[in-house]
Amino acid sequence: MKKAIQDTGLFLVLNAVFVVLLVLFAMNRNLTNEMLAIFFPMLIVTSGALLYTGYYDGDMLTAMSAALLLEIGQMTQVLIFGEGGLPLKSKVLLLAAPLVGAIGVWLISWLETKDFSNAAVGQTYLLISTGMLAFVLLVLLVFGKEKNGTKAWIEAGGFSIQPTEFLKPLYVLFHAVLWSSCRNRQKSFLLSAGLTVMVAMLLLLINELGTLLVILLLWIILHFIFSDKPVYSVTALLGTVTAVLSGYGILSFIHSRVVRLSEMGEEINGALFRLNTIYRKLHDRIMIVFDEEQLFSNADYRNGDGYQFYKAREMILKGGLFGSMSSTHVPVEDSDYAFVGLILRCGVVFAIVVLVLFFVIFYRTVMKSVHIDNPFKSVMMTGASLSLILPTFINVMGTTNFSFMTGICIPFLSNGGTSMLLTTFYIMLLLWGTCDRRPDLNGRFVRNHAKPKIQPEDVPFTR
Amino acid sequence: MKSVCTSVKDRTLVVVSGFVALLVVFSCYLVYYSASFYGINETGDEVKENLARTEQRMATIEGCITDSNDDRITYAEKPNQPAACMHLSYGQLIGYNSLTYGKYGLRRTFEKELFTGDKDHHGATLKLTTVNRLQDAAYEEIKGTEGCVVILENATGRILALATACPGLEFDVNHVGKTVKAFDSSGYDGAWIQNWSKKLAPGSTMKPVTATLVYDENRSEEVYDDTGSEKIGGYVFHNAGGAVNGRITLKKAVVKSCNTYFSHMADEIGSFKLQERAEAFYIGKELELDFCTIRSEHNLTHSTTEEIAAAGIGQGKLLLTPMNMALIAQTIANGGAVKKPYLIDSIYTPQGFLYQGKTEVLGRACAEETAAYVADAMREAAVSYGIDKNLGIHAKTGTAQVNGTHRASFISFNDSYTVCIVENHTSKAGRNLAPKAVRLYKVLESL
Repeated sequence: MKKAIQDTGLFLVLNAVFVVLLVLFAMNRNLTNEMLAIFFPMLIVTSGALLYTGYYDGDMLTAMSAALLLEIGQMTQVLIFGEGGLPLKSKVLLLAAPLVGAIGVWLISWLETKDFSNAAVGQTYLLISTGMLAFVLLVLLVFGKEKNGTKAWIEAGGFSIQPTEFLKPLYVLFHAVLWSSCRNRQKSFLLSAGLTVMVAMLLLLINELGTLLVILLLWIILHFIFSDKPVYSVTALLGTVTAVLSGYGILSFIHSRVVRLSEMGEEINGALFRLNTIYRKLHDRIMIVFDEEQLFSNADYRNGDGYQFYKAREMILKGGLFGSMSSTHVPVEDSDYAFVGLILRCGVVFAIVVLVLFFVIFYRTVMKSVHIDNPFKSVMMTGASLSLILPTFINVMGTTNFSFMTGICIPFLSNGGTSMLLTTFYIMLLLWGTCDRRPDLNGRFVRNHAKPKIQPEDVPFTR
Repeated sequence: MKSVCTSVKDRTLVVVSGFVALLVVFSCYLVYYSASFYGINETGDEVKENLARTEQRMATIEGCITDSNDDRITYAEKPNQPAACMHLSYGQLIGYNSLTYGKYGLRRTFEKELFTGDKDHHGATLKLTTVNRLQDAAYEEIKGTEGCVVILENATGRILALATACPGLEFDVNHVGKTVKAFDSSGYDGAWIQNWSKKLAPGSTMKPVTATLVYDENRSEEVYDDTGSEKIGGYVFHNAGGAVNGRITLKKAVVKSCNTYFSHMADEIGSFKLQERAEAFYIGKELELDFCTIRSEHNLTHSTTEEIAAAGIGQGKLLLTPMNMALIAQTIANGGAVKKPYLIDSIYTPQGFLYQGKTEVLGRACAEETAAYVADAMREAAVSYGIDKNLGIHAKTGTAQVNGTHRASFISFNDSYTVCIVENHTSKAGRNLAPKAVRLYKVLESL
């Protein structure tokens, strides 16, 4: 306990310096009150998380990185929204997120106690996780509200949630249960492939290509890490690449047919129109990566379909290495383009520091998960860690034209309510997972890493 | 699972290494991409120049847009404040220029002039050739439809009104955010297209062009026996409503809008002359105006006989914009001289003129005598549409059927003005637009 208090105290001292710098920064922009109003409750939450992590011998570096990212994320939002401040809904979510995260972690810790090696238990939970995945997707298909061509939202009572965000933890949960229960590798691979195809098809139907990309990458990386036979990871990789290329080829064929029909004066409606829209969206987003100069030299593109890309480009240049006071804006700056908003105001150097903090969380937690002898928990931790780092890289690379844009939010920085809830859940899950000793469901202390049963040849991980 | 995890650590390290490499490469890219000094990358330099313009723009009071009588259409009082629009009938034409929602319309095309301040930080004034009262009247005629009105002054080519509308949507440039969201979420494919530059199957409004060619081929008095159908290649052409006109010549064919006659003539005259004549009317050729470029499609090279015959009656692969249709009528009204339509009367600051629009003759599409003959036929056609002969209006209608809906068009002129009305996705036929045109001629007379 003493060490936990020392670590937390040290962090808070460092953090106080950081907050003073932020406040000075905010004073230049007349945002001091808003910034302080956000940071005061947030310091209480992060201190609590640090004390918990330190008390149970968790990874303090992960906790500190997460706390800093949380603060930077809120600072970014304050800077983007300006003097008007964050919307009330965002503030409510910020306070509700730890509660939701705690419930999620409690559920996972409850599942951890299950004996998945028992065939009946394993099958039951496999069915439950598959059912939940299918339920989320079917609800979206039926009740989903279309926004920007994607049916990923459900609106009720003035609130809108993005259920596709829940697919990632459910997908990871399925694999955690599968690899804990099924000893037949071929069967488990086929089950995993079958589920991935089902999820992919349903995501295609609602045109949610960003989440589809994350799911496919999760599939490939999880198989690479947890399949001891290369044949399965290679099959997963080649299968995905082939499916993606074939899908693009089919869309390209449909597009050429639509062009021919249009030339003949025919109107394009229904499925053809929808598929052609998907193709055009994809094509434009890929072309902007390869042919930015030519596309930007075209004023029609620059001010039309390519407006967001161009504005993002402007903002990055304007921000330069150390940020600027410019009031340039890009549409959806608070969500998809939050990273670009951060670059504009704080510069590229600071943005790279933010990416390093993300990487620290990933590295520390994924390496810790290696030494956990409970396969369910190990897969859950790796999956949660990947669920944080993959959207981060996909978002930052897309919004800066390093790769194509997907419309995925960046954890911590984006003002997505559902994304914020899930990010808090991932972080709490990862901190819980890194704890060397922790109370079990009966309140007794157990140790995670006392004996590394997974890799006897390795030196056990110690703090 | 134990055996599965035997080398989990190694494989995890491989994944971690991949992310390290990605982080390093991406960080270098980000530094390069954000290079804030010139000469590092060309796109960056260009964007920086645009940024400098944006800074200047933010310190400038947006220039006024006025009509030809110096009546204001838009007006701003402060820098970095969007100019208020007093006539929403200009919505799609003048567009908006917003840091959040982008740029559209004239406020995009003339951004440099409107947002480059003089010593008093005032942008230049953009004076249009339009008349506000006429523009408002034109917009009222098509409001709620996918329609377009083009009104030209015959002698000069000045555009007196240029209105476009979307079904169920109003282009409110004073509330850009609301408008952009409504248009984006409308699911309506053509929401962001200014209808005067939208390519459509023209239908019979193309027949006056074919008629000038038939006349110049000395076949105007040739009698054609219309039996109600004409088989050309593998396709049988019919008249609208299954009409049978009997023995007719060119003039009656124009009045009756006889498909069989014109498809027969187009087939006999051939693709080369047909295309040449169309190009003389700036059909199938780029028409560069002072505020946009009009593109139409008319390429008969490698066409089948059916396609050539279809082009003669305004069908097949032929696609025209309402501006092209207006130009057909204006050219006939001007005795075959093609006068370039222009919208910008002048751009000026208190220090003087930056630009002054002027009448420009693009060429001659047909002889004066030919135009007079076709004009005479169009006069008779106008009467057949129920228009009072004393109004001196010459007209031709077009109705193209696509997927169960109509693309109705109406081109017309009198001694001074040309009025073209087009409605897409409508249940109306071209002749149903005649009363709207008559009302607009009355407004023109009262100006």
